[in-house]
Amino acid sequence: MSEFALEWRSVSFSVPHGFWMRPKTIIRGLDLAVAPGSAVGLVGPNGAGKTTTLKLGAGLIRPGSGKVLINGQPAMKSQSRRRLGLLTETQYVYPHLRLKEWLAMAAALSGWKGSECRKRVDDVLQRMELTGQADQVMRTLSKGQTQRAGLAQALVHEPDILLLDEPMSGLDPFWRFKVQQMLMQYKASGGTLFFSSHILSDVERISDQVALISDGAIRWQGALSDMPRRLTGYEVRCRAENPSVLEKFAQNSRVELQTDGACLLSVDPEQKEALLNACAAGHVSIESLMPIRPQIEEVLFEFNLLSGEKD
Amino acid sequence: MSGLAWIQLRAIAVNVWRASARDRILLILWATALLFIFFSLVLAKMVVGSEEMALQTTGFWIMGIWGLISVLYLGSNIVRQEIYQKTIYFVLSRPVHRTTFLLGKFFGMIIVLASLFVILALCWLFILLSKGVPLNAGHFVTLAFIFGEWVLLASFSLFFAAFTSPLLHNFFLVGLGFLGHWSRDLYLFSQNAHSAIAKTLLSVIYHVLPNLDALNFRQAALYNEPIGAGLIMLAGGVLLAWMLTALVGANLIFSRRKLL
Repeated sequence: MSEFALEWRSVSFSVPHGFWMRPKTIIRGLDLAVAPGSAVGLVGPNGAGKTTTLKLGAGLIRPGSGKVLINGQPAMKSQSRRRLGLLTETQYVYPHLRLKEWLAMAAALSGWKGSECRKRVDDVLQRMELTGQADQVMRTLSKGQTQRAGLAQALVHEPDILLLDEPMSGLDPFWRFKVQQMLMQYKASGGTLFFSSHILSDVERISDQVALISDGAIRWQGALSDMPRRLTGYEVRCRAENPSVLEKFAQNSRVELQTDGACLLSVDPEQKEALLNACAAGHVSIESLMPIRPQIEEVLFEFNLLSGEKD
Repeated sequence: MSGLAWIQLRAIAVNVWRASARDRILLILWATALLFIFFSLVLAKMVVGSEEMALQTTGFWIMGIWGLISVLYLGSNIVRQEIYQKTIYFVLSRPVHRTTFLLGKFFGMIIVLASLFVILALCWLFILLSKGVPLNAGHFVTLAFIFGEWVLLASFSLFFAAFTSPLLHNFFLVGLGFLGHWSRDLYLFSQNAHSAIAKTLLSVIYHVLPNLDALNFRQAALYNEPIGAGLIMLAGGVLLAWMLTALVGANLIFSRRKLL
């Protein structure tokens, strides 16, 4: 048994481009590993290579160099994909098929037949609240329903590894929440999750680790708590007999007076000590003090800038 | 082949069947074939000579040509559409080997073609019987080999579909269909040609293309001539060998095909 559920080892991939079909590199020397039972979110700007990385992981495309492994076996080997579920960003549906026929086909392709196959289809339809659409031709489903159907086909054979490309795309807030819950449940039951997303709050909520991809290479991978998010200050809610004393602690000397008489201000890290001393001296009464760190989007932006400079 | 591969093969073939059964153009194509079969009754009245002979010849011709038309329609998009619409990702992200995918497509085509063939053949036989045409063993052997030709065309269709565009696929398949029936003539031309280039070219075409006339027993059926078991075996062998060659070729190309 391999140490990793999914592994990309120095993977490169290029596509023929232009009239002379010159190779254009999409993925360059990508190294990434996903441990069994973990959830890794792949984050990066458009064209960074997220979808290609997922396609490589699902064994749909052959790497130009390097290796892609599923449980230690080459992803291109059909048997490696037995316990793998893939949700592509756009659902590639057969327009002539009804939803339940499509799901039955998905289950059959994973080796299920007869009553067990029907049971799984009914079960997954129920979970995704699509039972009412079971006999509907796929091209007549709405965008959100198609996305849910996509998740249903990825889950119908109860895979151990789920690869999801923008799983929340096209979902309304209710279903975004429900899918989040499902994915968290899936992870809690021991499943391995690897997904790409533009919605960084989803990444923050679902994943244990984040991999930042830019220009076809992983720029950073680690736990969100390890992400280098430097402290930019503190948000302080406090009370003072004379609010003007707070101005010397506040960034840009801005103190917001709240309706309940409390003051709200941002404090530079260097000013924290002085504020606490004022509190100890009884001039200020602090109700809350919260560190301000850049949003994950800002960190990502910085990473992109850095990688751009590097290249 | 493992149990899993059989389940997958069935699922892919059933999908081809469903796509065809719900395709209005294909249904119109089938209805036209039936119309032609019944129209042969009118045609037979118009020809000079035996009405019985005309009925049989027209029927054989319609079945022969409709096989080619159906395979052209089914095969031109059978792989291309999967790649173009990216539905192939849905299939290949599961434990499906590319060979299984291709064979599933092939068997799906065979099921569709067999359905059309059975309908056409039954209608044609009904017309012959209603007109009092005596049937002989040759009729059934001929019918079997007309269907064999459909299957052979389907396997070549898959071979062309594995690497070309629908337009080129159709061009190659029509060429194969017609030149395959003129194979003997090509051989004779090559023997009598004065130019060395023409001689070589015709000879190469003769050897490269399957000899579809080797599967043609229409004359024997029309004139109630006995067909030897050896000849049937030989024709069956030729059919099987060409079919396997096309399928192996298709598999070799498709297995190496790069998806984007």
